Amino acid sequence: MVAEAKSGALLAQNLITLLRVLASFSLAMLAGTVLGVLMGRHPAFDRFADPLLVILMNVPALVIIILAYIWAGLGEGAAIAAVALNKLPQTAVTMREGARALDPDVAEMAQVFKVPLWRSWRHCTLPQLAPYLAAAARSGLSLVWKIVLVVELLGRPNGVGFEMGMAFQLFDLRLLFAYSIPFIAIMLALEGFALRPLEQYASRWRRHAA
Amino acid sequence: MQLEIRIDQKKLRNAQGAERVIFQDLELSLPSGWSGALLGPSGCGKSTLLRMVSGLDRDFIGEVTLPGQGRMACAFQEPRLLAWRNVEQNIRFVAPRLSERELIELLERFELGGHAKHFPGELSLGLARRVSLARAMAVPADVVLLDEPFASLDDSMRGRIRSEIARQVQSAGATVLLVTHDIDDAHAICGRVFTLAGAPASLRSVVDLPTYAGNRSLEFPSKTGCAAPLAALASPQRK
Repeated sequence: MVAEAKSGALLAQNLITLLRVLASFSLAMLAGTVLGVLMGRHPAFDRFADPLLVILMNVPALVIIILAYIWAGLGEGAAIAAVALNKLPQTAVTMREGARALDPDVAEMAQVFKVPLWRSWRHCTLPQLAPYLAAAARSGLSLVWKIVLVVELLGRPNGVGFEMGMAFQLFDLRLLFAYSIPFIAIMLALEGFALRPLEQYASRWRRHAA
Repeated sequence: MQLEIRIDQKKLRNAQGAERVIFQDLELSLPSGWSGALLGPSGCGKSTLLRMVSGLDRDFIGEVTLPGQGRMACAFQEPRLLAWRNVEQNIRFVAPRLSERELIELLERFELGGHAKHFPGELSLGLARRVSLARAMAVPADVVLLDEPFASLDDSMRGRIRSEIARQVQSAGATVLLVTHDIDDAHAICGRVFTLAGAPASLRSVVDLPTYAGNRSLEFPSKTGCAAPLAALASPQRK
């Protein structure tokens, strides 16, 4: 691990993987949130999209990754899209529940007072969705980084997953741990110091609930 | 322009899909700047009528014309506060241009001075209702809708808040529609009293309180003058 760190490879490979995690995580959260909220607010769209979501949720991650590589080529876009597609259904389902749980009474109140739409979204809708968004983000990150490693192992020429694949081929356990342990530590730090506080912040008003 | 409500027909559908007509050929009007009370037995459709005036329920045959620019404020039957925002933020949600001084004065008038930073979950129902009323009074409105706004307030608080609201709506020149079961509420705030009764509900009577002519006087009429006839109106089944 020290040798890899000194050569700069450890930092570079971790950084590459981290960027892939952030890109696919952001894409999945954005698309999943839009899809989930639309499904939660519009029953007709929910009836249309729900079977597709169930199928996507039950297709093995490996199948999605291999199909993405075959159809879109062994590129960065295919890798990120494959990871995002694996995470998207989980985000959409969580956000759909959040959208269904929106309080219609406060929406009516905002309507009567003619509160502008953006202001109503910011103060009325988003705070209600925030706990669901934070829960989806927390569970999503743990899923995304594991799938990113598989994607790198199968079809990328760099990243922690690629290095772990090399270690496997060489049966080099020291190399395997040299790359896996720092990366796991980074993900745990992100979860503990960013996402968990974010979830607590998003749900803080619930502590005041009578 | 005055507040004009003309409901040719309004139906409600229950969970089983069965429809019943709750209003048929109902017409009432209130001059701009006046306060009117809707009295009637429980379940006759007073709150539904308020929802129709507010624009939340448009599923009816008829027309509602609002005075002025149609700017609206409402104190609902339930406080309907944002549970994730404190009292001050709840008021600023509908009145973002309220200055700090105006906000403090408003909170003081509704005896909420010590609760500005409290979240709704930390408030009693009575306090939450006062926040809801303060919120309704925070915006410049042409029409103020009040749906049983004084429930869960004790008698002395009820009197003070009632006077405060009467003072505010009169100085703002807003048209007020108040739904209440309590004749004293109607008596304290309103210049015209509409009594609804029957199924489907129809207008049983309209009474103008004489000392409220023009609804511009801050002098409240003595209760002995009006309470008795109003009590009779509120119980039409006994007539």
